[in-house]
Amino acid sequence: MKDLTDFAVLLTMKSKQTQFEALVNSYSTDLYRYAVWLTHDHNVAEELVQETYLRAWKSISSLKDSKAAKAWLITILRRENARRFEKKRPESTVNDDVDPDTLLEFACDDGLVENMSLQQSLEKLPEEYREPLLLQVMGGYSCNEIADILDITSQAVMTRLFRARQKMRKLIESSDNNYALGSNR
Amino acid sequence: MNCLEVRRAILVDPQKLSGELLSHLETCNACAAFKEEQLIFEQQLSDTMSITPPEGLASRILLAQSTGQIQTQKRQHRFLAIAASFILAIGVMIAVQINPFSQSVDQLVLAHVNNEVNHLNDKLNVSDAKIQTIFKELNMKVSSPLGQVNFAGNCEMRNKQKGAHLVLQGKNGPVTVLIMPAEQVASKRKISDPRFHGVIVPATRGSFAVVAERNEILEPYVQQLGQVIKM
Repeated sequence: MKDLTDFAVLLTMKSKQTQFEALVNSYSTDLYRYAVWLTHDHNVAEELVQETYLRAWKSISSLKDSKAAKAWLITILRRENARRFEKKRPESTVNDDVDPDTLLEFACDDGLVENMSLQQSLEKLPEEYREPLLLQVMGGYSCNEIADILDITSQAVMTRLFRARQKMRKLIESSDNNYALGSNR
Repeated sequence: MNCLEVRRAILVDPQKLSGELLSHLETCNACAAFKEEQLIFEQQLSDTMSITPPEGLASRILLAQSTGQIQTQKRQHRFLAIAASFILAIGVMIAVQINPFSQSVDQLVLAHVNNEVNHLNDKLNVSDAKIQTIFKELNMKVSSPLGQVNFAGNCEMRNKQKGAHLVLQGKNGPVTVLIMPAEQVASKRKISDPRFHGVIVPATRGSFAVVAERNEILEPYVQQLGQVIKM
């Protein structure tokens, strides 16, 4: 899907305005989704997307490669989001307490998870792990592309993706197993 | 590649698997099942992430680009947010003044334990049948024995809402458990006063609290209760 929209964008890049409109029509939905997961607030997400596009409009002449358009927009969006927290950015709560050796236990997991607990697990995932997962699952980016967007090494991306999925499994397991007061499970 | 390496690779990117990994999957049923399960998980994850954007988003972006209107909207949002916060603050202040039940769940739990502190000395060795009766009053049941229970009874928490009060024999002393089907908490929270510490845990129906003196580790009781108490 990513390649097709990139191609569509390329075809419509005839002028600055049409280029901008193509960027909006092609990527605003994906940017909005990404923004919601970053901000946890639909109104703030929309404002963030609008800010992102205004920034993009001001520097659209610097976009030379249409294939990089979406990644360019995501980079702007991340920067705009960071601006919101310049003075009060919360510290990361990452705690790598998951043992890789527990991997084999996953084969014993029974059943599939429900969307609601998936959503809660995704919300609970530290931003450091959630972002690469969003970029891979939602954006369709490779580890190398994610590394460029997040400005970290490809190896770090792989580690974070591994841990992100591992932590989600743990979170879902714990939400399924614990605190079932009043449930029929 | 061994199973651990294969599963690590699947968790890094389940959609892009190397030839070596695919060869392993042909001969290892457990890893193949793991991969299938992960692919289903990925689909659900993708569905969860696919939030529907608000209608007219693209049009509003283009409008903001042509008019610079976003700044006005932001100021308006800020003004409304400040006004809403002010009204909410006044509302909360009035509610605190006029509502006799404005006590927080934290205060409620600690007050209940302190008011009935005499039960900490009970040694009634309550039977499983009696405990089931108490939970039946709340339309709940206990799926397995709770261990030594020194006191158990139904009680009114507040607003005439029924609850249950149990005192378990802890490792270092009595552990009070309050079952509160009508008290909602958003997330697991710690509470304490000069004598006790505790935790309030959200549940499908209401919440439950585990309180003991500070030398008692509470988490094992939280885990146990979360698993054995059923509707």
